Amino acid sequence: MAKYVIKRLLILIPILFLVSIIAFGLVRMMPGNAEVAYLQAAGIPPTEELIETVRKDMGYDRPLPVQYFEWLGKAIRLDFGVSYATKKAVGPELMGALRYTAQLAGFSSLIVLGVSIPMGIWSAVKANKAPDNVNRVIAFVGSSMPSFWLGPLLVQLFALALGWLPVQGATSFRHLILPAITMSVLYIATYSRLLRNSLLENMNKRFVTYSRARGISENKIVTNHVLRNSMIPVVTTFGINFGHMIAGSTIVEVLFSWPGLGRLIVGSIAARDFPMIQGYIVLMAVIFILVNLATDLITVALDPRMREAL
Amino acid sequence: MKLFKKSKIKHLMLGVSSAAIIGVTLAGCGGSGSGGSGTSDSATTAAQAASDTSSQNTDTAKDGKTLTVAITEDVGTLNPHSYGSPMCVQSLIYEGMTRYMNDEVVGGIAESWDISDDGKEYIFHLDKDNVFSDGTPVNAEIVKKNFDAVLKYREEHNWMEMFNVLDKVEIVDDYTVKFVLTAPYDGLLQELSLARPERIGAEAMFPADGDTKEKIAEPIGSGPWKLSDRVEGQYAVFERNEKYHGTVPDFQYLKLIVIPDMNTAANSLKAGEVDMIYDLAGHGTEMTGDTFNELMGSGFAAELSDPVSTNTIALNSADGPTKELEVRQAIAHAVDKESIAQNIYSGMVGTADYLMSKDTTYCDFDDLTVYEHDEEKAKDILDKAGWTMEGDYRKKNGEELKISFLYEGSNDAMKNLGQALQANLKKVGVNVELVPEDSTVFYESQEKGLFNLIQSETWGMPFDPYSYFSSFRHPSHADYAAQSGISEKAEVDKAVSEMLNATDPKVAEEKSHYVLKTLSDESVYVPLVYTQVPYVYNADVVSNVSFNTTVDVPFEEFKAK
Repeated sequence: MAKYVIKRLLILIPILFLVSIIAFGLVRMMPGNAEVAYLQAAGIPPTEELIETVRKDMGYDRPLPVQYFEWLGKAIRLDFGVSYATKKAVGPELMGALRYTAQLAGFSSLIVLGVSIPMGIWSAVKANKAPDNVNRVIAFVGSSMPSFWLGPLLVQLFALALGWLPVQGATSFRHLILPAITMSVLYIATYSRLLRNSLLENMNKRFVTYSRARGISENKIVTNHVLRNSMIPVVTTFGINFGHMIAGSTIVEVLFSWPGLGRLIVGSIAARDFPMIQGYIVLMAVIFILVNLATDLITVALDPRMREAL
Repeated sequence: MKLFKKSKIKHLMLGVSSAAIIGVTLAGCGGSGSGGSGTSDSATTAAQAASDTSSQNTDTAKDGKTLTVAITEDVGTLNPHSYGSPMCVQSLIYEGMTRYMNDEVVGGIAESWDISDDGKEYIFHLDKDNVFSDGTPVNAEIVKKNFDAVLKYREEHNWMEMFNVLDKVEIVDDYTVKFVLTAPYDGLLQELSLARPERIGAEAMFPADGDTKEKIAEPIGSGPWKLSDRVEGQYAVFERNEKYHGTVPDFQYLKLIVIPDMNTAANSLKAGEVDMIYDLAGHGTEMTGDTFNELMGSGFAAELSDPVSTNTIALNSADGPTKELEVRQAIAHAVDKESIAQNIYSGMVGTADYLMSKDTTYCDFDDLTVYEHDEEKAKDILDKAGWTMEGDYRKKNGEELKISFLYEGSNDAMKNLGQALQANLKKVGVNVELVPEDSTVFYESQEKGLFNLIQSETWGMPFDPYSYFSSFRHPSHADYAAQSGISEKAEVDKAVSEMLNATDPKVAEEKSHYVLKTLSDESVYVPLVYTQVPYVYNADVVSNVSFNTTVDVPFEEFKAK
């Protein structure tokens, strides 16, 4: 197992190298003049001389390979440069915002698991009966509601009509509740149905029949075998989606004025803040790779057959 | 077949739910701690202090001593010599040599001034009793130090004419400084009032090497407020500067909360989390007419500033069909400003006949060409110019009268305006193609003149007319591209230069008249509406609210209730 983890971590190196090239290349391929974007974002009316000055200051007048290797050399030492917009080091800026996004994604994940697992089990237990149908409708509605619509609805109800929760901000736990619920609804709908179907599928498998024939109690069959097996697709999908939660939190963060990565990167893209965008892409790549690794390890823990395959 | 045993399932569900609830609670506690104390690298931020002050401010708000206002972006670097902070925030902490208030330039750090006969020397007399918020004196030495730091990188600021003509700043005595210019510049006093990059900071603001280009040590100025607390990306709290030599603010604290989305800000106002919201970008840009009217209907005070700039359509005289004067004139007649004011700007603003409001310095002229909305006249002009109707649109020499309207794809107000223009011009046989672009491509395209029609705006006070007219001469602006096809372009640029350097007001007025008369005769702009700043506030918390520029908010004038 340790060998497997080390191997996966070593693969990070060539992947990150490729990501660095893609990050650098993609950012340079963005349409528009980066110098003008920088000046516009700063509120400075651009003049020919200013554009030239900015180009030199930012080093855009040098050949691309020179710019790339200079950036890469620093990035290897975890120095992603200084943001053009905030004039601060990119690394700490990204990590500061990541902490908020991780809080949001983490709390949303807990809500998702806390709601979708009981919902999925309940639906499976009551398959094709009233509770299952109710859950089906909830899942259908939940997966159809975009966050830019659901968020304001929740604000109207819980913040403005009832006054229970704040509209925006990030200074207390109460501020976390509405954005996290907004972010979770789609995933709750997905996972509850996924788990329900997986449970039903596994309950019809031969190992369940065999277990019953061996006289194993129904309780043990469910907890030790069926649920565990049924969780595998849920964990795999959840692993992929956790990365998406981190990377796709922009709308929720803007709606609730949550100071996370999404809000940060939207401003950075508008201002063509190359160091920040490059740092963000590399950070996202690392997060996706690590989350996938963690997902694989959990899957291995759940499924002994996978362990043998390693 | 019974799949699950009921009792076991109950236990299982209970277990999962309990685990989830415990997890959620734990995460919540973590979230609370770190969220409340979320800090940045800012030297001014102390995690717990932020949290404490936040709750303290909520308490003071109840006492009417904190004004909480939504702003769309973080307060930034707070460096008065760079562009890293919103202009309205710079003005809280730092003063300029002069100040633009109620349509006139008044004293700032300088109490009074004398101008030499040749207009090349300005002697500024400082207020001897004025001190920075840290108690150090605002004297000639620190004024010179600030200007030396800015002039070291003058090429970065040359979009302001001042930095093209300001040679040096000299100390005359402890409280008198002399600004030496290479050429007279009538707009100097007005440009000295701008929020950046020439505001004055204290000695403690300067880093060890004295170079403020990249960073400052501490944001210390002599303005009405001083920074008290800050959580980057979330909020900043300013405490009134009791040593301020002007009107000391009525509110003890001013809390600026970062809310990028205007709808969220409006909800925050309704929930009582903020006391005021505003849209310095002008009506309809971020705060829609619907939001404004809805808040007014909800009992909030919703007001508009006096006109601060002019919203126009610039017609590219150097490219495509709009190269023809007749086409530009026909477009000017075909645009229904009244309908646009009603439908795009919710009837909140008045239509504009002139590029520059008559209130603007050197812009009060009665003989400028005004193009009334007259579709028949527009059709007649196009007929005479050889553009004949063929189907829905006109053609000349087999070529359709098709023009592009370039706009920022993410800007709904611009898109709506484009659609209105499309409908207006279709009535006279002009086909308008809407071209949405990413903001960066938009600016690049306007710089290169890759448009026929584009929304444009005068820069507003205190940039008008000097800084705005000055920009006509730089190829990186849409104005330059739009004007570049007219035969008088060289004369217009020359007249702008002569106006800026005039020492005699009559000469300046004469040159300004030439510029505005030529641009109106040539129909380079279709003035649409005057831009007004919408602001909505809780009248139970604050009164005496007013805005008079698009860049500055006089918070110190606001009264607590």
